[in-house]
Amino acid sequence: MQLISLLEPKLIYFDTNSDTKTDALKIMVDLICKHYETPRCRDDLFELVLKREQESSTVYPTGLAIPHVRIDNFDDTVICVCIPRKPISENGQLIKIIFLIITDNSSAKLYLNIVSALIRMSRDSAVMGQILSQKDGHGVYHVIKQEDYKVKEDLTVKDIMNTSPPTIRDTATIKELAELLSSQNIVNLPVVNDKNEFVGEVDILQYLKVGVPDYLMLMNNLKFLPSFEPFEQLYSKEDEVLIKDIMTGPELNLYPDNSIIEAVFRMIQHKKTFFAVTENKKVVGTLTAGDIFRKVVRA
Amino acid sequence: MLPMILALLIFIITYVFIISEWINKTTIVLLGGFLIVLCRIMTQEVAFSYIDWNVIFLLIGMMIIMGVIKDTGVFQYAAIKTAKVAKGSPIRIMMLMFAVTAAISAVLDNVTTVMIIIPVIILIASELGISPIPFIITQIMASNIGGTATLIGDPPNILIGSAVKLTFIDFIVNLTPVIIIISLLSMAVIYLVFHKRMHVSNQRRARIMGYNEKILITNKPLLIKSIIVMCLLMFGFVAQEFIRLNSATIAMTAALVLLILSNRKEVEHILTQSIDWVSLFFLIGLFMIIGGLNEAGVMSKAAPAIVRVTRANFQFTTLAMIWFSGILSSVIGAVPLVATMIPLIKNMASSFNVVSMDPMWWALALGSCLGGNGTVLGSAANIVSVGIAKRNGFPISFWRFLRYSFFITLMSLAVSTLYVWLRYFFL
Repeated sequence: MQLISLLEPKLIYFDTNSDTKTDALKIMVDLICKHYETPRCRDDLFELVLKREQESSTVYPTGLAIPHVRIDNFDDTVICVCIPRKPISENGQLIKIIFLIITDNSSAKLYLNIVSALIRMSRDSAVMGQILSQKDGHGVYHVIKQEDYKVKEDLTVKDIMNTSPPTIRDTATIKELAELLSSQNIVNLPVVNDKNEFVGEVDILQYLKVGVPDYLMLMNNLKFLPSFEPFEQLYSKEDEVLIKDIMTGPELNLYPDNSIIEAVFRMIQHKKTFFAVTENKKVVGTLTAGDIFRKVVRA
Repeated sequence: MLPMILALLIFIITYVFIISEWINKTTIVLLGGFLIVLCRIMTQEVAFSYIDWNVIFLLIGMMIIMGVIKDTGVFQYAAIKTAKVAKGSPIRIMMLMFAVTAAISAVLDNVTTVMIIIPVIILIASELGISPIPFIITQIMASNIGGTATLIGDPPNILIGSAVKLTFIDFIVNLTPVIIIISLLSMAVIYLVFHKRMHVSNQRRARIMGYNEKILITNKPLLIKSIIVMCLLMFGFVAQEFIRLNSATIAMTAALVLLILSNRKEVEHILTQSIDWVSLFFLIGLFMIIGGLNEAGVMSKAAPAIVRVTRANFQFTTLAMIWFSGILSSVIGAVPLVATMIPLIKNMASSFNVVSMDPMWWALALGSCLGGNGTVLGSAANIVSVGIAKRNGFPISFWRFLRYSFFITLMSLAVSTLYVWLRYFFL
């Protein structure tokens, strides 16, 4: 979700009169109530804002004040922006912009993400300078729009993937694979080429399959075969068979900014519990169904 | 004249694609079939009327029956049991398996048969420590030869039987005897060629004898039901003349009864996986194209011309048919060949001064089915088996296959010629 989608030019204004934050907030509350029918309005809402402000300061070192109230049964998020022509001084800190955020009681997570997006924006002094030099709300709106700030709403693959995972070269032998699987206690590995690009995947079943001839795979069942020793064949081939002979292709991968639901969807769709996460053809991580289960579902 | 040229053109182009496989066969044949309609050689109604639904449903019925039976594990059981009956001796295994595969292929689909038998034979040969290639090739031969024996053994026979109204019994009486002779001679050849070549240790034989084949029958109740239905099916075919029902009705009834008796969860699987819809639609397209040739008058023009070339010598034409169809079927495939030859031979009937055209039909059946052994691409069973062998590290090249198949194919076509001559012209 983009920050700009939550802002509206009509709720952004430049203040020339107010000397204190309280004065400014009074005007902001009236502006919101002019455009929105909030469950609590005008003085009622203003009191609520002040009460919240007394509990703790919402001024940040970058010159940002982000007062915030939650109202029951509002079911929306409204942000009103006030830019004093002359910065307001409060407890020794200068306030350059005030963002008043009205949310519903249930949107705590969204509120936190908006705050973090605003703080990110305020750290960019060039953008802040541009905002402060605008003439009206539309100008501010377009400056923020051009910068394309994201309000991070949900987790992405990047947040829960295993970073810097072990990989294996496509020209390695399956003996090296076996050693890596057992020393790292894993069952899947991304495969990379000489340019360190992602070219496929290999898992423990593909390794074991080297020991089971194709003709056995064509039979209904092998119950009649008491003493076949497929792994004799496996040991004798360990130095000959290369990863590229047994690996699967690189068609199925995830990207760091894929959503968790997309990752789960692809795991179910392809009956695959392991995915390599790539960026510009390089492996940047791996994600298993177990990671999603532990880090998201049961977190 | 124009429709005739157009129909012939579509026919030739389609067949070039069938042989070369540049485009998927079924796709190109169906396209050819509808091009015939598009070029107004005949209406869609007429084109559809050429589709022999008796053939299509007979094939569907047999595919369903095969689909149910193969899941009982009985074929794998039969293969392992045979190896044990042969006491693990390679030459005995090879010969007994030849007989078993030929017998199964005579009543059930060849491709499915080899898909089950070939992996088992590779396992057995590997366990015995000898090359599986001679085993694979002799199994292919067995499947093609066995399939010739009955009406339902091979698609070409189904096509001929349906088009000419020849019954199951007709095939048993006319083809089965010569196929038994050819099978026995083939086994003799196999014995002569291989009996001194294959030696295995007692220890390796003991491994084969250690297989517990009884466990392979995974669903005994279903197997018993299958056997009962197969018996009823055979009875239905044998009694066809008295009960006056077409083969498709008999096969479909048996198939659907068996399907209902089988595991209900498997029904969907069998309908989608065991029925070879791609081959069935290939046949449908083929029927339409050949129908186009017929409607355009190509067949009625070509048939007398061919008869003139042979100087209306029925005996010569019949015997030549064995070799003609034998050689051609390994090039363009038995099914496309037979589908083309049927209307042609029907049109030739009036030009020959004979009471019955039957000898010609038997010649066509023998030639086209046995010709499948001619080359590695001769029949679907060959292609499937060689594919399995290749995937397991036993590539069988065109020439390697020919080295084994050439003599047996030559022998079987020669025996067929002798048989047809003796039975229909000499005695």
